[in-house]
Amino acid sequence: MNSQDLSRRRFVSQMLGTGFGAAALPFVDALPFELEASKTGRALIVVFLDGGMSHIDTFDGKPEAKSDITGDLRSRRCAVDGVFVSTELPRIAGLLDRCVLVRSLTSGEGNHDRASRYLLTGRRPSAVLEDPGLGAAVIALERAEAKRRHVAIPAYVSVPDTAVGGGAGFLGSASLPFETGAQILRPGGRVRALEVPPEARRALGWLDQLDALDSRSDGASSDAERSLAELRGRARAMVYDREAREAFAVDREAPPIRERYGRHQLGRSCLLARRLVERGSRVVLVRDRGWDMHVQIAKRMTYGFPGKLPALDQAFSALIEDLERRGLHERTNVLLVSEFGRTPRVNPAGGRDHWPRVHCCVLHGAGLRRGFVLGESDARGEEPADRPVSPAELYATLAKLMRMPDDAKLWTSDGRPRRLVQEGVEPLSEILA
Amino acid sequence: MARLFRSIAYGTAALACASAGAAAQTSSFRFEVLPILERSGCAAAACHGGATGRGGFKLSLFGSEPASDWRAITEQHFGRRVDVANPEASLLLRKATKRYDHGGGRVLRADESAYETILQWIRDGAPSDLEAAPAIAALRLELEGSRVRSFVRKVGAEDDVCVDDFAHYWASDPAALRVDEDGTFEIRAPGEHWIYARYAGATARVRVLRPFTAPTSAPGVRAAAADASSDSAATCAQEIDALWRAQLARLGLVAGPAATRATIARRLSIDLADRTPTAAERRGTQDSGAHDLGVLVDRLCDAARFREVIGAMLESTFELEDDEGLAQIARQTSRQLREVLAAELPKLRTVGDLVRGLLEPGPMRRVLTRHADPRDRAEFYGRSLLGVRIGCARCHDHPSDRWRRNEHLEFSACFVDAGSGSGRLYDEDGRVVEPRLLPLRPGNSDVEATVTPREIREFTLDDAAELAARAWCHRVFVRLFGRTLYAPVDDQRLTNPVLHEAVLDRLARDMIDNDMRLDRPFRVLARTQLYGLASADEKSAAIAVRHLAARPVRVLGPARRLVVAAGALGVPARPARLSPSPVRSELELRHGPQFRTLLDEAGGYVDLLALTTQPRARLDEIWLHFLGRPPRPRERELFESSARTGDRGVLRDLVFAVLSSAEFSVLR
Repeated sequence: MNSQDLSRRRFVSQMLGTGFGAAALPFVDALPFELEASKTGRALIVVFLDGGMSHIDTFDGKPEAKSDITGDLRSRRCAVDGVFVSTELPRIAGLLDRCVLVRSLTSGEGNHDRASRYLLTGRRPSAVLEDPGLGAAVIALERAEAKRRHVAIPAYVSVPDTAVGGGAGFLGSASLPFETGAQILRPGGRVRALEVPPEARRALGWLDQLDALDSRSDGASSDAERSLAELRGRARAMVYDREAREAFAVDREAPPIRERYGRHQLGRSCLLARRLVERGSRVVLVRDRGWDMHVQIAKRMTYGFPGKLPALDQAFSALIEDLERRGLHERTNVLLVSEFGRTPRVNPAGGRDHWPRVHCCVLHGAGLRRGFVLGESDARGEEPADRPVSPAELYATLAKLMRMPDDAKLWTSDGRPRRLVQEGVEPLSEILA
Repeated sequence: MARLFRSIAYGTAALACASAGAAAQTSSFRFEVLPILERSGCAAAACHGGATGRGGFKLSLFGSEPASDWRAITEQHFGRRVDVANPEASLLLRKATKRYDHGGGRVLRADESAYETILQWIRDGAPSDLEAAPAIAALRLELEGSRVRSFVRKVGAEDDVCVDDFAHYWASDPAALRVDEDGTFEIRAPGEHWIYARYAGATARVRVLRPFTAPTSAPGVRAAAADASSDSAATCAQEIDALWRAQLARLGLVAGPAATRATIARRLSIDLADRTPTAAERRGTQDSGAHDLGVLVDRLCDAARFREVIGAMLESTFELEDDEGLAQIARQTSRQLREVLAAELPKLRTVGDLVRGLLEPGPMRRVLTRHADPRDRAEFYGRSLLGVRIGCARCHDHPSDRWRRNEHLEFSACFVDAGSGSGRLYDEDGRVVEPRLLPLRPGNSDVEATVTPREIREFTLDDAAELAARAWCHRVFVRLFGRTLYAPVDDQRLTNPVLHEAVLDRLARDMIDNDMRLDRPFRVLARTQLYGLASADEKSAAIAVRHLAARPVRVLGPARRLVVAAGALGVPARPARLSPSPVRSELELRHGPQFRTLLDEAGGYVDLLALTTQPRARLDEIWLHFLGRPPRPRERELFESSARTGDRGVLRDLVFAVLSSAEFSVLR
């Protein structure tokens, strides 16, 4: 009996437990996927601070600059020499000696959507071709190479939804991430779509039988139909597989751990990301909105229940520590990033505006050096002073960390090849272990 | 009108010419130096033509602003870019030949004629020839064997001038067609391809074609089946079929087989009424002698549900879909405007009605005025009604997009509405911009103190009628075929070629001849043999599907599936918020209340099923009504005993299962 048989047995026993009974058994024979997720492959969690995180108010403090640059928030030395981190991020500051900090990220794209696309696809936005985000590209490549067939745990998940650029682009809807929706981020929240209404069980059992009969009929089957069958198979697997359902049950996590991540949305998002990666998801994109602070940035960063920076400090540090405690950091990378930075000078409204010339990001996990700082911005945080890093290079690095082949190619709908990593762009070798 | 569009798109308007240079100089800045820089890639967006230029040297994109380029080359950087005393030491040439460090590498060699041309221009004192220059009347491409050649005619001149040495060529699909700098080309893959050329602010194109097999003579058009309605729609449909088959013959392709009448009937009902065929329609179409598909087309287009189909298309045309990416307030506005549109729908029969609704006082005007900035309004009007994107010209002239910055600004000024606070528009020099309609044909370029809504409407239905008709016809094509003839759908331009252009032209001309009625393209296209093709697997028949020799199988998305399900159950469709994530939306439909709510509302259908149908025939009725076929033996074996009970709950669950099945979503 091979592992696939075993997983099917487990699956059938679980499904019988859902109340569907034997009615849905014919469907099991037609399952187009394996049920066990690979829990050894590399994984990536991207914590995307949507709107533009101020580099000066977080990881690239300029305590010696004039007050119109330092603003109302303070920074202090951290565990890494020469790096000043916001006083609002004490826990992350203590972890930076296990991370890589890039302080010279520069994109030249000052529009949210364009910058976000550049960052998450590794290519400047084009009017004629929409490139896929890394998560979509990874699952498309693996599917094409038959390295991974569909498993119940979705390979690519967006929490709660997908940032611009994180979608499937030219790869089409089959590569879109599974979006959890925002409800799961509230205390006690769930992914309602995964819950089977008791009154619908008979009808759903019949539906599965119908689809199973349809998929085994000898009628001509087109690409479109095969894609639909695959999609529905993935949806069913998520419903019937207990482990998949439980991956989304954040509230089943032990209370101390939930407390450590925080009860806020970012905390629950990061906790969910860890649960998904632990169970086999390959890429999880956590989108935290609200970082576009043109007005009163100091207040908006720190006040609230909790403020943006305290929440980030709590959630991100908890994620790093949790991954390390479980050993998941040996196969998982975490990236904390924004589409651009914010103006070094505080504007008259007390905010900071878009600033793509230089910003920063934090990386952690497998295959990376620890406590390493790449590049730096100038004294006023306006330009990269050393080793400018483009989003394309960052993307190439992530692809390398995900063990994508150097010459990996994607195919557009009309059959044209497109390299996963832009021609001529190399990974950031300095930060690789 | 087709000729007009072509003449505009391929000719004069596309040229968007700037002033031409004096011919007296040995080298012309306008017609030689600048084209050389453009052809060498110096004025591309990735180089000095970018928004901020490169290395402190900024050229206009593709040399579209010669005057500023001349200043940048001769005056900026302390005049160091040209050295008339020692021309060969000019920075422009030293950089281009990489005798001096140049980020863009070597773009010229000292031994080539282009270098000599620029050198000569500098020797002559780097003069500007932009003032007293004749305009370019036309750029024309000719094929000579495996070479393309370029000719221009200047205004007032009688002869064409060859500009092979200066035109910049590129291919519509570089993987399928290679074009060298000197115009020699090689077709690498069969199909229809385009070679484009740009010269001195003008763009032109020429088609090259390599058939897939030996070209065949176009078969005679099969006479359409007797059409009971016998109106001109059937005639136009036949003409479109002839054009389509002629293009297939040129490509060496043969049209696939026709779909069965039952398949076409289901396709028509879903496309034109968002529902499955009724029992009467099914029976009617089974007997080809008694019922013609043309009659069914007209009947469906005359029904109330067809108005809802038009309404759904208008929501998309006017960019009112519920997009989760939008801010909350924008989503709320879209929802309100969808309601307004639904209320106004009975009045919206023609493109003229749409224009009136958008421009004249009334509730629908908010669809336009939700955009506060007149430039946004102009761009929205262009996209939605004319199917053109003028937005690029907000920032820069772009020869391939026809429109120049001043034209964008002047057209935007037509949408200034002081009453709503959108204010006046000012140009870069602080002058108030006077309104002017887009220069689609000579004679409409007068600057007006005001442009009234009536004038914009007349412009849309006259000068811009071809654009507007093509835009709507293309949207109808996308609805009926599930694919585009060009993409994006709102981007008609010279460098965005149309698959089977003659088909779209003929359809648009017919729409213009029929008062720009919104329903007209449906009535014509749905009658064509092209529409009635059997669907094929894209994998095994990729070429046929790509070139319209066969149809792809379509799968209804979750939202559309709900609408069709509501139609099949005879209840109004309700807007549903489904996730854009496909797996999640599948789950939402499967477990959510949407289908169950529909079934609750459609209690009458289930009651009727329970009461009036013969018990043994209940299963047949469900399968035929929703899937268009009787149950297979295995399905009968599994479900017949349940259906026979007549229990309403059981029947309801069966209907739910069939409606939710994959097969219901598939449109062959």
